[in-house]
Amino acid sequence: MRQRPLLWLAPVIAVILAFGVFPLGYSLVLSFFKWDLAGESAPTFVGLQNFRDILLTDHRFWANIRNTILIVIIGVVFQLIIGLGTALLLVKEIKAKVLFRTVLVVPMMIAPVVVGAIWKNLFHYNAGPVNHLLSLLGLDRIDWLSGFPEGVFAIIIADTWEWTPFIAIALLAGLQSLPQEPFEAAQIDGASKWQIFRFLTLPLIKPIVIIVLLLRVIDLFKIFDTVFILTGGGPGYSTETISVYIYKVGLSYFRVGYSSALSYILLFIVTVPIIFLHRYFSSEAKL
Amino acid sequence: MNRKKLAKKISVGMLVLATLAFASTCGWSAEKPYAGKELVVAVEAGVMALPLREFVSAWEDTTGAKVRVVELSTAVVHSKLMMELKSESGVYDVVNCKPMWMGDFAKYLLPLDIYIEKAKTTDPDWYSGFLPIQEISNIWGDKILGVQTDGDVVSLYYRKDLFSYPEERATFQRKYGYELDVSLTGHITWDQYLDIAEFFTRKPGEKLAGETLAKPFYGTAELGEKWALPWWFLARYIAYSAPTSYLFDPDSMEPLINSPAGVRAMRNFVDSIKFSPPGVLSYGYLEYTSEFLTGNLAMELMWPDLARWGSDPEQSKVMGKIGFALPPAAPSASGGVRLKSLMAPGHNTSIVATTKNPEMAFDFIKGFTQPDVSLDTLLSPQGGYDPYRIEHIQSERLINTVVDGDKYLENHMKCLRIGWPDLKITGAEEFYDKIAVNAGRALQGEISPEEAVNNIAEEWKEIVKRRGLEELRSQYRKSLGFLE
Repeated sequence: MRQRPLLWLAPVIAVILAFGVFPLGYSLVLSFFKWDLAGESAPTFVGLQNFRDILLTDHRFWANIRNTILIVIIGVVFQLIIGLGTALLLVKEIKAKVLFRTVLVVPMMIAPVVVGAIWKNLFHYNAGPVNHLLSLLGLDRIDWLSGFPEGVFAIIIADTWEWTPFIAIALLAGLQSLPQEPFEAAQIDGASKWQIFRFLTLPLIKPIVIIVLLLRVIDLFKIFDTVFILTGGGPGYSTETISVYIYKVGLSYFRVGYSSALSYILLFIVTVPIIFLHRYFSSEAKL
Repeated sequence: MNRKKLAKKISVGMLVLATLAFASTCGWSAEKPYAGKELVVAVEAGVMALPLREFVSAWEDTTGAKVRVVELSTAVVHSKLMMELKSESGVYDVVNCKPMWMGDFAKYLLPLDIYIEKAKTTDPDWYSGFLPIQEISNIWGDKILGVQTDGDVVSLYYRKDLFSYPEERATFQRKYGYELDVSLTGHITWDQYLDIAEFFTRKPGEKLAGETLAKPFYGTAELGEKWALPWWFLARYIAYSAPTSYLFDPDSMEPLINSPAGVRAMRNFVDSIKFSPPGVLSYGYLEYTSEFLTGNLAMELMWPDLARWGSDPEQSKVMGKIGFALPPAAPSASGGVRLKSLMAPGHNTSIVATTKNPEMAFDFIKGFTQPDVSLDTLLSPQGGYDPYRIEHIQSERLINTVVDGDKYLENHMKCLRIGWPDLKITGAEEFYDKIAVNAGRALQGEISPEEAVNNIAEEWKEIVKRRGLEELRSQYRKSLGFLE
């Protein structure tokens, strides 16, 4: 009788082991080897050499980290502000609310590769509507896809367009689930709208904000499709992110040991701020 | 007749019927030899895939086979093919790829020598009709591993109406001290390329060939997307480093890319951006060609497809205005010039060693490269295939499709005679990627041309060391025709 739960769980455990734990473990082992899969040479154990090479001599890696961190920080801030603003608008009773909510989710349903292709056309220097709009406003056209920092901002804009609806929907759900009594009491006590927002709304939706923040940070650190299609990481590696570099090293140069080491460094880089954010917000919640 | 005899006769009859039915599904029909069989063909998406699909429909009708065409995006063709071939997944039977990848794929491709020898007896004109590029690009380790299906060669396309406009010519002569006339020599130099590009770059409101411009006009453009940068750099390097145009020292495998020739080539490349449309560093193949076809450029380097598209009134606003010239030359110390034309990438088609249908796969390739079929492919309005057979360059149909078709083919042949094929060693894709990255950094001004070529050389040294100096040296020397 005591074995039955394990029997029922066995298939799930097997899947998790096969598709989760094993690849993690295997790639960790690979990261300690020099292995050129395209060549004839057998894997050679090199210890921490791959990690040393990446951290101490690989300029391309550090440029990628710069680009990735910029995309994460600026992207998350933009998306949170716009997403929260959208949710606050939609929580009110406005005309055509259902239509707005339906249209809002459309970008989220489009594959990131297609988003990259769409924005590549939108950002075209001569024929793209973005520069056409800038011209109409009397501003100079921008060469969006031709390097740093414009290319990085182009990526942020494309990603913001696609994923802000996710934040808006999540925060809208949070806002709609808030109890009304504290707000009614605050209004009776004469609190201003800003005071209600600052001291009631924000603290009450904090748990949802933390979750969407964490999810978006993780997603943005891994951003690949949009970058690959929009700029390919170029020119040079001016808009390359760490995921695109890992792909290049692992599946174009076939240096699987080096790309595994890069992957683990990325995992470490993503995990540290997640743990920090989680601990910070958890300790605030306890207070 | 007793029951036993009747039962025996019925059984034999049913056995015969079953055998015939089975035989018909096994393709034993003489009319449809491959009925019931499937062939999977991997091809680069876009201009390489479209004409192939047209051939596939006809071939399926003729042979009874079912052909599944798998289109792979340009940016991931090498990765996808490498993964499938290396894992010996057997997913593909036929792959359309590039000769520069032969070093990476050779182990996984079926040698075609036996099939070609057999074809020479049954269809002698088929193999003998290939241009020399077939032998240059498709032999690896003394085996024929591919069949040429595209004859890329880069030449210069220019607006002959602008170059011959009397007022423009007079102004050019006054400003630069020499005549603007490609037809005198059939080529310009890379320095003249920059002069001409500068001369023809004009703002709205300025005049061009007697007309006031409503929008900017540019002297040239470059194919700025990452995958193309190596070729547009090498188009310059091979001229500056001619006659050998070595990328490595054949004895030591020391990179020569950062020689004075390499520096001059990269500097020329960087300088040309000033006279190109903004946004050119993100230009893909279609944007690049459309800039010329819509009349926004004075000249551009390009593959032969531009001549055919330029002659199509539905695609071109410069029909009848296109001149053809050899790629720009580099000056030589003796006062002459050094000319080389990039014969790259030049697609080929190979059979994967794991295929269960090698005969069918070879028949497919042979069918696709027959004189009449391949000519149809070349002339496909959406296609990107270029002449690779004798019949193509002698074809009245091709001459009549292109405005000034005789001049186009004459220039094409001249380019082939000074042709330089791609680097063909293991890891060529990685070597070229280093050019792409560093050229991209130089083109956007992040590093100087000298730093760019020095970086390439250092990274190439590391790749050579990692992949094996002796093996790469042997491959490189063989590709140059050294006898060992």
